[in-house]
Amino acid sequence: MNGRHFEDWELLALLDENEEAIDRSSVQAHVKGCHDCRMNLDSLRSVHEILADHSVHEFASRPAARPDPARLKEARTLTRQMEQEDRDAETTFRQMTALPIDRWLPHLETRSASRTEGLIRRVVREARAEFDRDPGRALDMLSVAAGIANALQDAFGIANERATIAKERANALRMLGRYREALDELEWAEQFLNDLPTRIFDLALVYWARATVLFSMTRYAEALPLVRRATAILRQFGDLPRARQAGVLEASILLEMGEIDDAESLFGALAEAFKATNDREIVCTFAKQPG
Amino acid sequence: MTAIHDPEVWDDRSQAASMCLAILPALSGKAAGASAGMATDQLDVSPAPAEDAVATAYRAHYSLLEYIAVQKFRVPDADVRDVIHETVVAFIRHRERVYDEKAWLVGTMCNVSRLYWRRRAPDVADRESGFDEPSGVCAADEISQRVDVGTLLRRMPRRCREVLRLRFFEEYSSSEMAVHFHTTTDYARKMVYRCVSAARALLQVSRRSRR
Repeated sequence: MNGRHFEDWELLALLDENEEAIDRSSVQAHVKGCHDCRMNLDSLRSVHEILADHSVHEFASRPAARPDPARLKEARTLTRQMEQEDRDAETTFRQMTALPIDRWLPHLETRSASRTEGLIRRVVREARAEFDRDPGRALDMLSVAAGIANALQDAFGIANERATIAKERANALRMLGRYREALDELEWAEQFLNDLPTRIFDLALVYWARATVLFSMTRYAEALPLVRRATAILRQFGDLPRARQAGVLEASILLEMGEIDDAESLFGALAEAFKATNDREIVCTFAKQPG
Repeated sequence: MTAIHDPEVWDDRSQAASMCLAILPALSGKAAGASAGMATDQLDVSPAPAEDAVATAYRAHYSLLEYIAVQKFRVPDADVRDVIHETVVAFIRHRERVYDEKAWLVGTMCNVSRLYWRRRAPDVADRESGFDEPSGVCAADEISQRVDVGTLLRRMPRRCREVLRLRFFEEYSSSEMAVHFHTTTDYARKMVYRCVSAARALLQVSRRSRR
């Protein structure tokens, strides 16, 4: 091995395959045995690759842009409005819970200002909390949420809320063992998402929900690709906690399919990740898994 | 090795270092004119009002979103602001579900850009239907690195920027570069190496500053 570390220009000449500037074989031989130069070469290679991307130079030739102040103001206003809507929804929801569920929609009939997306979010949150206790009651709440959504003025708002409600209804129906209806709801959810900006992210949640229904129906071979697709999307969107949760379903499917080695290795990797994030409850659940 | 003495091409580390110091505030979102850095950079630990957090995210990720719209999906300049705003509005509406702000915005920006073409030119959307799947095309880290390098290029000395543009964008050979800069092939080659090396140094400093 050559005794000295090579300089950047020599390593770049190596990337350029420039025989005139360097003795390529001696640089290559040194880099092979030298950790520092290898790391340096990798780092230069990554910048070299980025600089070779035409779009980077095109982008650099554009003037630096900032958000339009009017749009920035609009974003601030919308955020404030949504916070206010959530606060108002909390008050309305308290009034609703004093009534039986079948009186909720009639109660809202004369209160059009209260029928907001904020109220739908609040009802859906309550329904989710009800899943384990009483999925039938959760389903009733979600029907009320759908009734409120249908009266919204904004088409995107309706599609967005109906997609969420359909997905949640599928979860409740699965818990009630009504699998066929659950799958139908997920079809609806997918259709509502079609023209929404958040379609891809929300599709991951729909795929995950569908994989869970199929798992309950013991249709493992159909569930596996769906949950893998969901995990890939969630990772792309940086949602590692949800991706790991979906991973638990994937490992469970593999286990049921008899792919013991794959299931064990996935459970192991997930257990490490959950330990690292201090999720003790799920680590204990893992401890109960066979193997 | 021949020393390079060109005032517009970095020839020592101190020049690169002072350049880093000059541009880092801008890279970390603390440039003059920007109202505030990320919430975590503030000394005041009280939670920022949601609208401030949204405005900070809008500013902090604007270049990234613009890069996706323009460079990845060729959204026309006249519509770029609308497409970015649609993405930010989706972010505001889904904020409580978002775990990683940057990755979520990148993924959603890709989807909004696809929708843009689907609404205006379905034939283009069909051609680009491969974009529907999660892939490297919309990987946040990959795009982020390109935006960082693009931003660095904008702030580099004019000559260095030109050297890199000619070499990598116009694909000049070393001898063509030599003719362009009225110099020797060997010197032209070393100009390129110096500028790539300087870009790498700046990128490393900017990444460290974000950790």
